Amino acid sequence: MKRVIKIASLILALAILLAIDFTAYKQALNINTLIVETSEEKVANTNLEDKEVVYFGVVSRFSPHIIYNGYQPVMDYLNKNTNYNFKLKLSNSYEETAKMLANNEVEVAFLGTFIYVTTRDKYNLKCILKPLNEDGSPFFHSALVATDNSSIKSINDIKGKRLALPSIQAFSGNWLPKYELRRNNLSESDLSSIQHFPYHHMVIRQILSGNFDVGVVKDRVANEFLKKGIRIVQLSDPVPGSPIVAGPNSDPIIIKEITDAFLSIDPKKQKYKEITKNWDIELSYGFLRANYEDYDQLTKLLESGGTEK
Amino acid sequence: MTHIRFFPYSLKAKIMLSIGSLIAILMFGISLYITFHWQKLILHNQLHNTQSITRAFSIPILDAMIYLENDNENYEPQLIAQINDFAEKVENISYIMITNDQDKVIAHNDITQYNHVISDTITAIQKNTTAMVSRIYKHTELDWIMEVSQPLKIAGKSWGNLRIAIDAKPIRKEIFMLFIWMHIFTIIVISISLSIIYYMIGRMTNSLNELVKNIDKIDVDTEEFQDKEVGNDEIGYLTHHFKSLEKRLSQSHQQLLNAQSQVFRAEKLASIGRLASGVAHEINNPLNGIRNCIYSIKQEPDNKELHDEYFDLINEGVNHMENVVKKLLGFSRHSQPNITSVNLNNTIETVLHLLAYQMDKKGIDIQKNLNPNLPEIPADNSLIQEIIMNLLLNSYDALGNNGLIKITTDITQDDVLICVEDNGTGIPKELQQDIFDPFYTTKDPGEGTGLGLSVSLGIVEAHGGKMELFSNPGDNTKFTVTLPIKGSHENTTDRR
Repeated sequence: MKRVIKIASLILALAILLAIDFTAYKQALNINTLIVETSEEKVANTNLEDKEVVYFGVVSRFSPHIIYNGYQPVMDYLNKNTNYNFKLKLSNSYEETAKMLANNEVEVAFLGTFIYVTTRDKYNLKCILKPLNEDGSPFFHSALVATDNSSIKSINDIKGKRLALPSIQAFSGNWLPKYELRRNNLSESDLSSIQHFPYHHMVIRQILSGNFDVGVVKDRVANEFLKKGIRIVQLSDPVPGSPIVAGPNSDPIIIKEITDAFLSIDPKKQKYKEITKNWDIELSYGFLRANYEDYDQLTKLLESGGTEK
Repeated sequence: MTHIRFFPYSLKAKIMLSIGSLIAILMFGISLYITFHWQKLILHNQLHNTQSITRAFSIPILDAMIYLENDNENYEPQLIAQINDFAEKVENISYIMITNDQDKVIAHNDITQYNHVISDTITAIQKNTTAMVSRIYKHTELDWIMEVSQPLKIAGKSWGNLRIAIDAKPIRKEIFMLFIWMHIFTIIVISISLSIIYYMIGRMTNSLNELVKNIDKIDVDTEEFQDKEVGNDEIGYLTHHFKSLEKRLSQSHQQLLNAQSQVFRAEKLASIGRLASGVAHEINNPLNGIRNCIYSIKQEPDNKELHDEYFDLINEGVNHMENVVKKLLGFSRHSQPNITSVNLNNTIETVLHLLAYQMDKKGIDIQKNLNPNLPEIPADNSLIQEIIMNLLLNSYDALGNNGLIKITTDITQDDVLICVEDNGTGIPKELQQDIFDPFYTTKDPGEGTGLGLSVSLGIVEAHGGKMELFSNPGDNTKFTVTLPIKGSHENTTDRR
C-alpha cells in the first residue's frame, strides 16, 4: 500500500511538472502584447473646427519638418489665445511667401530680414513684430562657420576654400559674398567655389561631411551645432531680427489679435518659458513691435554694397 | 554477511531521488525563469527595433505629408514610392499604411486597401493619446504580426498615423527554439549534477558497505578486532566509534558468559541439593550392610569362611557407594568443556540411577523406550546429563504419587531424539510461551530457580539442536530434544 502511494505520488508529481511545463510552453508562445508609450503631450482639446482658418506663412529657411517642429507650437499658442485657427503655410522659396502675403493667400508670415527688406516696397508688406534674441535685443547675426578641426581662424583664411551658403534670398546667403568679402579686401574669385543650398541646416551638413570648408548660417543654427563639430569663425554685425509681416490686405483684427498674443509673452516669466520651450529658438525670447524704419539701416547697407555699416 | 538492499530502497537511491528531485525542480524553475526573461527581452528588442524603424521612417513620410498639404501634389507619387521601396527592402514587412485623421487609408503598400476606414484597437487607443502604440497579436489573415502605430504629428498639428506591421512568426519560432534549448540545457545540467552526486554517494556508501562487512566479521569471542585504516571523514569517525563499540561489546559478552556460567553452576547446585536425599539413601543402605557385616565379623572372629563372605559384601557395598559418589561427582563437577562421543541411552541410565530413590519414594513409574541403535553423538556428556536431569525433575515435580514418566530415544535421518513425557497436569496454553524464559517458574518459592528449562534450552541450542514443548493442559506434558548426529559445537564450549 505504502509503495502504491509512493508510486502514485511520483506519477502525480510528474503530471504536475508536465502540466506546468505545458502551461509555460503555451504562455511563452503567447506573445500577445500591447504597449502604449507614455507621452507628455496631451491630445489637443481645443475645438478648432468652429474657428476661422487663418494661414500663417513661413519662409523656407529650414526643411518642412524642422519648420513644423519650431513653428507649429507657435500656432498652437495662437490657436489657444486668439479666436482663429492658424495653420502654417510653407513655400518653396523665400519670395513665394512674400507673394503669398501680397496675394492674401496668407494673412501673416514669418519672413526673413533680407527678403522683407528687398520686397517690402514691391509687395507693400508691413512688418508688425520683430523677435528678440537671448540678450533681449531685436537682432540676429550671420555666422561664418567651419569644422572644429579646420585651419580657418579668420575670414582672411578662406582664400581658396569652398564656401557653402543658404538661400540667396536669405541675409546669410548674401552677407559674406556681397558685403563682408569686400570689407576684407576679398572677392568671390578668391574662393575655390561657392554654392547655395535651400536650408541653413543643409549648409552645416555639407561642412560636416567635408564637401565644403566654410559656410554661413544664422547664428541660431550655428549655436545649435556648437560642440557637435562646428565652430564659429566670425559673426556679422547685428541685423534686425526676421520680422512677422502682414500683407497689404491682411485683416487688422487678426493682426491685432496676433500682435497682442505675441506681445503678452514675457520670456522672463516661468509660465511663458514653459509655453515657448518647444518654439523655434529664434522666437522664444519674446517680440517687439516692428516699424518700417527699423530695417532702413539694412536697406542702406544693401544699397551701398557693403561699404556702409 | 552483508545484505545489499534492493536499489529503490537503498540509501543511494533515496539520496539520489531527493537531491535529484530538488535539483530538477530548481533547474526547472530557473529554466522557466530564464525562458520568460529571455522571451521578454526578445519581444522588447523586436518591438524596439520595429518602433525605431517606424519612428525613423515617419520623418520622410511626415515631410511628404507636409508638402502634400501645401498643395504640392508632386509628392504623392514620391510618398507611394517611399512606402513600396521600404516594404520591399525591409525584411518581414507585412504591411505599411498611412491613415489620415479620420482613420482612412491614404497610402498602403497594397493598393486594394486604399480608402478603407480602419477601426481596431490601435485606432481606438490612438484617439486618446499622441504617443506611439505597439502591439503583437494574431491577425485573422496575416497570422502573428507586430504592429507599430506612429502618429504623424508635430505639436498640435496632426496628419494621421503611420502604421508598420512586421511578421511576428519568426519571433515565435525563436522563442520556441529558446524553450527547447533551455529544456535541453536543463536536462544536461540535471544529468551532470546527478552523475556527480551518484559518484559522491557511491564513494560514501562504499565506505558504509566496508563498515557493514567489518560488522559482519565481528567475533566477540576472540577479542580480535579489525584494525583497518579509517578515513578522516564522517564515515571514518563512525568506523572509529564502531571499533570502540566492538571492544565494549566483547567485554560485555565476556561478562555475560561469566554470569551465565554462574547461573549454570547455581542451577546445578540446586539439582545436587535435590539429589541429596537419594544419595544419602544410596549410601546409607550399603553403610548399614557394612556395619552389620563388621558386627557379625566381630561376633565370630574365627569364622574365616564367614569373614570372606562378609568381606565380599563389604567390598560390594563400598563399590556401590563409590559408584554413587562417582556419578554424583560426574554430575556436579565444574569441568572444562569436554566434547566426546556420547551414548545418550547410557547418559539417561546414569541420570535415572541418580534419581531412582526419589522416583521410588513417590511411586513414579519410569517407562523407558530407548532405541538400542542410537548412534553416539559429539557432545558434552555433563551438559547432556544436566538437560535430562532438568526434564526428569520437572516431570517429577509435576506428578503426584504413582505417576508415570515415559522416556524415549529415537533416531531420524540427521538427528537423535530424546522425549520425556509425564501424565501430570499439563501446562496451560497461556503459560507455554513463557516456559523457557529465565527465572520463570510455577513452583512454590524455594522449590525452583526458574532457570532449569532456560539453561537446558541454551545447552540444546549450543549443541545445534532444538527443544520443543507439547502439552495438553490437564492431561500430559512432553518435552522433545532434538540433537544433530554430526554435532554443532562451535559455541558449546562457552556455555559453562
